[in-house]
Amino acid sequence: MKRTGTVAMALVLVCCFLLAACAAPAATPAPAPAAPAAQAAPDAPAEEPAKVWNIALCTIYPFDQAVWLTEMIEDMRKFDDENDNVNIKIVEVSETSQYEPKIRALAEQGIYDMIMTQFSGHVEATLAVAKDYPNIVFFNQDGMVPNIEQYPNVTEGRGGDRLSTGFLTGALAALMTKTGKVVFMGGKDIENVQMIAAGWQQGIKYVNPDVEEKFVIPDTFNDTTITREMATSLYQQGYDIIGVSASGANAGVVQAAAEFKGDLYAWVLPFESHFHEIADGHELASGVAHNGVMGVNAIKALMDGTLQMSIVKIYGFPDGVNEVPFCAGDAVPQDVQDRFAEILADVLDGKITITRDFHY
Amino acid sequence: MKQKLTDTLRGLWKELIRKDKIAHRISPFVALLLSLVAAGLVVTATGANALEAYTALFKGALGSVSSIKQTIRYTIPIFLLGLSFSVCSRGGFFAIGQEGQMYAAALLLVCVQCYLPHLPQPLMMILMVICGIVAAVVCALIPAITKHYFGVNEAMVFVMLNYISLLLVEYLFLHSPLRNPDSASYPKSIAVAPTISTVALYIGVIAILILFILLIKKSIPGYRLRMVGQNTAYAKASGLPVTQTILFSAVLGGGLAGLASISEVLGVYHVVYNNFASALGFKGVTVALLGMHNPLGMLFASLLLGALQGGSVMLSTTTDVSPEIVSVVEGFIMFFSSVNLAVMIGRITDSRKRRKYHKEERAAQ
Amino acid sequence: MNITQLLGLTVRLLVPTLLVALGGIFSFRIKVFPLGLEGYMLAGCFLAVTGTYLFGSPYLGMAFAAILVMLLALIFAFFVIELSVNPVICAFAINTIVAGMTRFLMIPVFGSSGRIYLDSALALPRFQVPIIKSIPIVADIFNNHSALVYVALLLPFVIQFVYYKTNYGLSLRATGAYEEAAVAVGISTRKVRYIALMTTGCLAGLGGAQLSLTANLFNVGMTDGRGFTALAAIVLSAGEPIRAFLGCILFGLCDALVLNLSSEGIPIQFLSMLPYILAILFAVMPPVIRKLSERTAFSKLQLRIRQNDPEILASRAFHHSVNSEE
Repeated sequence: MKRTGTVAMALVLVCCFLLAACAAPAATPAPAPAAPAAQAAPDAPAEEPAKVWNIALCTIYPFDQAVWLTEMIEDMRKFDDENDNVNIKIVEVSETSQYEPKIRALAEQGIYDMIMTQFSGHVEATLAVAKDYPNIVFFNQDGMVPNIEQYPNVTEGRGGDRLSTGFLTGALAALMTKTGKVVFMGGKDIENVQMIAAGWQQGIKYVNPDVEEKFVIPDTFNDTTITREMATSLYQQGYDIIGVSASGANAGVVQAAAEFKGDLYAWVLPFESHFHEIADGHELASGVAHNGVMGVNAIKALMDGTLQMSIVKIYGFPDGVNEVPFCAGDAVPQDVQDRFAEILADVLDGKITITRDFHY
Repeated sequence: MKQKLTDTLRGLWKELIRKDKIAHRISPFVALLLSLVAAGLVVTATGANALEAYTALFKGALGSVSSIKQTIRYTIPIFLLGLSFSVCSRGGFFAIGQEGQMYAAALLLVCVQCYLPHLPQPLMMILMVICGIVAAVVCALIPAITKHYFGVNEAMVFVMLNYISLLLVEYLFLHSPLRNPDSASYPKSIAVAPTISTVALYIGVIAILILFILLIKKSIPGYRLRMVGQNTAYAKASGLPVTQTILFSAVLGGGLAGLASISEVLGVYHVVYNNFASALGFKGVTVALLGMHNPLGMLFASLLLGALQGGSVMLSTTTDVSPEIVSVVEGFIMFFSSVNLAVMIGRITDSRKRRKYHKEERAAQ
Repeated sequence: MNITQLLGLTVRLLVPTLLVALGGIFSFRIKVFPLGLEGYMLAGCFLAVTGTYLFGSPYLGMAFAAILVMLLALIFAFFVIELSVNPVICAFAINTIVAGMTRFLMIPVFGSSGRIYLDSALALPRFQVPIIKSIPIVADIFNNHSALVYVALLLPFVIQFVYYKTNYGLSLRATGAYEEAAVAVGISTRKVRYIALMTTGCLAGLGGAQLSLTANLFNVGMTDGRGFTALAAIVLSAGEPIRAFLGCILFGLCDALVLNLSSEGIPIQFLSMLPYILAILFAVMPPVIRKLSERTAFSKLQLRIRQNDPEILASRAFHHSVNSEE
């Protein structure tokens, strides 16, 4: 009797679902804001001056997870606002089960000229969808796409020249340290962080091999409590400069530097973004990587027809993606600034070779 | 013949409109409506268009054949996990450790791929299925044994095992031969070769559903399970082998979670991401409770959650509404549908009757 | 890092989890498994930052968080007690809704979708306790903390007192142990349960407030599973406040050790597993030891009985005489 009731309810629900499925029209794409369906071939230059370029950016992290991502989104939105012929839609594709469905849904709408995805998590989905939509350009950021030469509509950009950035900031740290002990804190033990660490360690050795340096890994890109506590204890042990590349968790170290009361002046050197507001004068410099500039450059190249497919392009100092701006004002003495400028010039000219070797 | 058919239909219709059961029947729909309204209020309060959001959700879930396929793809693992939790809780075992079991199963799948890559496909697939199930079963048996022999609360052990397997998987996918050589930054495993086609998945799940119903309702182990779950002391006094039954329920639960993991890895992803099971763990519990441990009820509850997932894809790619709204809707659905309308009405009428009775009593004095 | 710094770090790390665990014990005692702690804690984090931002003072922010989370717990209590909703599913619902809403509400409330940084002027002030700060070792551990840390360190003892020496505590234990008997004696179990569930919310909200106000920011998913760690501590302690305190100390110590040892080259994932493995071991050890000792004690007792039993002695003598006659 109870079972009959359940079966009855089940039948009713099934009927409802079927009716709904038949009644609702097939999924139509949402009306793109006044744009005709663009079917641009990847390398064709813009024919009509009024062509509107539709770009989709798929982020692998939630928008507010890391400062670099928030800044990147801001840069892209600003570019969108300043240019009438460019529309950028930013979609959060952070759940594993939705990587491919969302990217495919975007491609299916048929209005996007380029779909940008991020990191290695999106790679499989990107390649699978790229195969089915040869007219759309797929731009992956930092994903280390395997055999990229085989994909005619996929290209990869490395968001920042990590070795050089690490080298320069390491050199700066070695020049500025008063206690002779510095630390590099990398968020997690992964390739990108290891590259910055390699540059950092070689930069320090280049300037002053006697500086004692350490490489710690709090294994988080997000938890500021952990990095804050770690940084406080490191400052207490006498390390006066901490370079930290832990995207979301950088803030913890900056706070620790700002609050530290001890014998030394605590400096922090965050990578990827600035922390002026909370650093309270303790931010020495920043190994900034403007991923937004990379994105804008890629879009501009697409519009000009100069965007190359099937390659990996490292967007570094010449592209305006990387820079090492000083935040410490007068605290950096002139001779240090001069020496730093020398090293910067040498690195950009290629006179210094930086390898991938690093140690823990 | 025809008479019998009309009789059955009339019986069904009469059953459907039974007055005393109406509250019980419309309860889920009322809950759905309430939660849509509540979530819609939240969306409107933040400045987005609720109607647009819901249209997108609906279209994404059921708007076309590919959308329906997507919905079913999301439903399958949630359904299997719901069965897993349900079977354990029939044995009185609060098994919230599905994530850990899924990671363990996925880990062994990848190990088979890594260390025995030259096996012929069918053999490898069978081996993977067996290894995956065994891994998940072991992961489920540990808390069962500690509960039964040492009296430790199994919920805590499950939660701890969840974290341990998550961390283990992350480590192994970054620093061991299991990691994907093309991805040094993101914990990902090597590609897994055998695949299960979608049709095979559907058939498999329906077969599991039928087997499950048969097992629980019609078979001897199922009967034992129900008795032990309802009253352990009585079961022991009646001579049922309680230990065996509890361990059996843990094995079943683990096996189902392992199957869920296998269906995800071999059927959909073909690569193991390090957090592929994170969202699924508690969805299974929700589904089991929403469906009130009834297999068909669980099927519909998981269809509902799967539809929400499928709809959220279209929601975030066609509108500007934040995708969080989906989890808010899910939460509200859970919240409102956990209220049994019949019980609520019953209590209100009860308290009214009680108050009337007291008033009459006082008036009579 | 020396041992006192390690212990000081432990104290800082364990306080949010401790507050949440102490709150959860109230729920646990009335047989409502406190799965909603994660949601309460996250709501407390968000509301504390919002309150501080709105009212300009961290203490007001804390109070804001505690009161609003208590109201949330009141809704939960209403659903569970009046409408007999399954508390597990209701708790999961609250976790999901809070997680979604905190992200959703960041934009309208703060106008930015980034993480919310509070002004350093609004940070929690730290205290130099007069007597303690002069004792060398104790100072490193217990000095220079914010107000809620000291409250939290004393709270387990306060709650122990409430449980075992006050009327309310007695009613609570009675309701949890055997409800019909409590009702028969005249205890208003409804009131007891409401108060217990609301206290859970209040303390869990304070735990979340402590977490976010110490970090002086809020980011999505800030609690990161601490609610479930607190749950583990509650289960380990079987509802005793002092034992829950010890459990939280264990977890805090492990976290502190993980931070320290990670720079020694041990893979961090294994270090992070350590507290969970230890928790399982600590849960399993006491019953194992008890079982083993029972077995040996029992068998020793049996042996002694058999040796001194007159009947057994007599029968042995009989057999001996029978055998020797052969």
